[in-house]
Amino acid sequence: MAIKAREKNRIDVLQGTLDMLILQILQWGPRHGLDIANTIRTKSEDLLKIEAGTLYPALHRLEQQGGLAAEWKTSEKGQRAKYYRLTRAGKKQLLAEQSKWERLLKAIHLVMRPTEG
Amino acid sequence: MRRLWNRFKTLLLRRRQEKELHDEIAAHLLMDTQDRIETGTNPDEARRAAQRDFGNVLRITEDTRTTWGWTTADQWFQDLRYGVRNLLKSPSFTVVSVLTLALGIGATTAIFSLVNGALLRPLPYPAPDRLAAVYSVNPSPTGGLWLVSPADFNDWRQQATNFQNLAAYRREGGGISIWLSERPETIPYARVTWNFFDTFGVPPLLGRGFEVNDDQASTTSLVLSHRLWQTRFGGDAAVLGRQIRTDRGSATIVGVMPPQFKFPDVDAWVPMGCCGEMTRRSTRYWQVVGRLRDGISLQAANGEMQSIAGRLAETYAKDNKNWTAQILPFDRALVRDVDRALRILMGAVVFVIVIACANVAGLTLVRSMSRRREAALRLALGANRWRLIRQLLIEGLLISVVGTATGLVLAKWSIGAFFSLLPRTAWTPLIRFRDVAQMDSGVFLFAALISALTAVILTLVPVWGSLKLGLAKSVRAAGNQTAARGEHRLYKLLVVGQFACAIVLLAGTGLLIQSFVRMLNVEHGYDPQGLIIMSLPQPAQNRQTFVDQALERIKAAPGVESAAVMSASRFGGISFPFNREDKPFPNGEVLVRYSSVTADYVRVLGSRLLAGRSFDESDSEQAAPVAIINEKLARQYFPDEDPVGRRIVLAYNNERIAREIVGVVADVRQDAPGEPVKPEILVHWKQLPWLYGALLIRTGGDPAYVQKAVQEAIWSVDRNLPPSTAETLEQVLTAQVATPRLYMILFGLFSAVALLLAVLGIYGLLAYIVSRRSNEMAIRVAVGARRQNILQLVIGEGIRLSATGIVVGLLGTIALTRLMRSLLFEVSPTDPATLVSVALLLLFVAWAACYIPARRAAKTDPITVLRHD
Repeated sequence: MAIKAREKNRIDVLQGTLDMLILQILQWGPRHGLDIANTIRTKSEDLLKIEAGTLYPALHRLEQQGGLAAEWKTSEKGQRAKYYRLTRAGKKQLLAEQSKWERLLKAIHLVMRPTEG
Repeated sequence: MRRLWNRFKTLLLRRRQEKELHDEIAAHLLMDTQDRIETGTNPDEARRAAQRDFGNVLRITEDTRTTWGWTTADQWFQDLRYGVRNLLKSPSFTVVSVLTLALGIGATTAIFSLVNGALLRPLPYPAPDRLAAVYSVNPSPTGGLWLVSPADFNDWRQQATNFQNLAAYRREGGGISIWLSERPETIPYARVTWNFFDTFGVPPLLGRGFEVNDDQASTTSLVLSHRLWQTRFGGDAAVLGRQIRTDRGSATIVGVMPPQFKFPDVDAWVPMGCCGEMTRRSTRYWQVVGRLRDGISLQAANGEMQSIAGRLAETYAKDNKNWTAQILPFDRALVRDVDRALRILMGAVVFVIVIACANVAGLTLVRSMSRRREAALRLALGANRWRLIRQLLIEGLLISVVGTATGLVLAKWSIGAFFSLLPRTAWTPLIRFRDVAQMDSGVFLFAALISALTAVILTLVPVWGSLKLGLAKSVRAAGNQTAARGEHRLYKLLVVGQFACAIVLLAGTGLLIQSFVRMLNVEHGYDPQGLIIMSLPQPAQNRQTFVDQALERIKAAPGVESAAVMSASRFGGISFPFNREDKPFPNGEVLVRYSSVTADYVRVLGSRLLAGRSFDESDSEQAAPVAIINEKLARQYFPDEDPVGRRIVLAYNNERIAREIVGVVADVRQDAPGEPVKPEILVHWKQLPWLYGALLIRTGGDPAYVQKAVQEAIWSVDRNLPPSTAETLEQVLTAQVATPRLYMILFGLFSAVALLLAVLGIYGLLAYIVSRRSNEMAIRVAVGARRQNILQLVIGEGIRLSATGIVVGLLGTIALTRLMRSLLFEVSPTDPATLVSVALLLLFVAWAACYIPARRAAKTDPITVLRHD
């Protein structure tokens, strides 16, 4: 039952925020795709689950746009995997997305707060 | 090569990226499975869970791939490969289309390079639109533009206020001889006034141009062309100040011009010189060019020149009565003689490219109709319409690009061939454009435009057809053998158009051939066989003795039958004013051709004496002055009179000398056959020796051998003279008709291409119609039509189309050949015999082209055809 409830509480990632989340996670160092998906899930306390079907196109798109760079490395468990890291352009994009996101939050908050009187 | 490499790299890269994605997903699944095993799930279950969690691998792979952003490029590449494969699959279509376009584009580009160089590209001087040529205009009804006399030029320059600079120049036909080693060499040169280079605004590359003092200086100054400086002086800057020996005395090199300045097609320039000449007003042989002041219009300058000329005509009524002046833009003046011809050639070549395009469009149309089934299938399977159009566009582009590339190679080659058809003499005005007819960026742009245009035509023709027919209809049409009427009409229109264009070209060719034949058969008035003209340089002193001695030895030289000296350095001469002594002309003196010749001239030439006597030894320096006139002059100025014994007054160097006419000779045609015979006066060399002259030699032997013998004879009198140049009269005559011959050859080539393409066009159409209508034919045969009926049916269709084209074309021809009048000789531009014969020729060729498909149709076996469906 607990699992079911959690599934139900899961939120679809808002259009356009996935890129920001990926960039945010990669701030602390290079990671591979599975790692990124797992990190987002644990950090959001299982509220956000990124499907591989959305993650990989997003990663490849960011790579094409130059926000991410990738190289093949061996993980601590001895598995070769494609590691993505933030480029200078990616960092800039992250900053821009963050401030946009904060303004959006503020705006939504203003609209949604209970009216006074 | 580079493109191939890029394509290869893209393929490699693409493959690597695919593999990486595959590996990445595999690693993802593997790591996920491992993680799950570590948390205690059993391996099988873990693998399944990881796969379930990941989702549809194929779809994710596909989705990810789309982010690479290559798909559009990929599709283009795919279409390109498909297009190449498709074209290779129908090689006959591809080869015929490419060759057709290559012929059309090659011809058009070659002619355009010439037109571009000669007419369109601005002259390589600063502000070329400020340059103007000034001419004298003759009062007589034959009129026209004349060169300018030194005295007139001098007055113009002093009085005209609208010119920054007004300069005169004269390109000396014989060239200047310079001694750089033991043997002298002759180079083309011009005499110019000191401000000549300033007028063009082109400063010398090295040293200086001319100064006012150069005209008076005791030694001649000399400016070299860049080419001569490079080839004969090794590009050495130390040439400045160097003295060289010339046949005009010692000369000092004062400057070198930059490479782009060669005007008027010479390798050296010397100052006009000051003295003697400047007082001549009756002889007009200087070219005048001026640079207008800023803000002065051509009309204003023209008005001023005419009023100056008007004043001079009053002041110097003796020489200038009724003479006026005329200004032309310099660039127009330079191409005055070839402008019309080049435009006509360009027009002709436009017809060629139109026919070529129509032909390829027709081929494409047929091909697209037979590909309708394929298109319908692709549409039904979900291909989008744009993708289909793109496919056609790519195939069109492929053909036009390959066709254009081939055409450019053809053009490059044919420009070279074009100029090699022209002898390098003054008779062929086009030769001076050999340097400017280059494949420059303008020409490439032109070729690219034509290429793009043809690609669009190649695409639009089939698209137009398929857009008119809806999808469902085209699927049905594909299955069914009924012809699509709209497309047939388009195809028929193309064929009619081809025939209309072809007959215009053929008629033009026919007229030019007729003119040419008439030019070859023109009456010369003398016997050109075995005649040689050789230049005869004269020493600075004792010219008369030299000429007498040289002529004596030349006559004795082996192979020489007879010889004479004449004043013109080549055939033709210069004009001087003359008048009748007994009855002066009411409008004053008239300009006529004028040659000074030695006693044997008429006999050597093989001309006929019509009345009186020829010159003889009795006509010495001291004897009474005599003259011989030609028939034309006798007819024109002594109508119904016997001119022999009458006296005429000839102007020479401001003197007027009366001479008695002692004989009349038959007209001798000296100019190109297109020119009318001019009135001419001959005077005796002894009574009027000339500063320069040429030998006229009659021989029965080998011209090269005789030339050597004559040269030895000249050198035996004076060892220091530069070598003489020689031409046989036959060479001169060939050169005279070289330009008309070239026009005829070009027109002939264009018409041959046009004819071939028109024939291919009508053949293709009928073959197609026959194949589409095989059902109908079979039914006709089955219900009793005879072979003859079918044959008539098909040929009738072809003849109807070509006849329509021919009639339309003939109307166009009558309108257009009128523009060719200046290229024609003794042929009317609407010569009925020519028009009728080319129409019949075209009709016959059309009939032959129709016969083959018609025969195939007539052989239709009804059983096979009807069973086939």
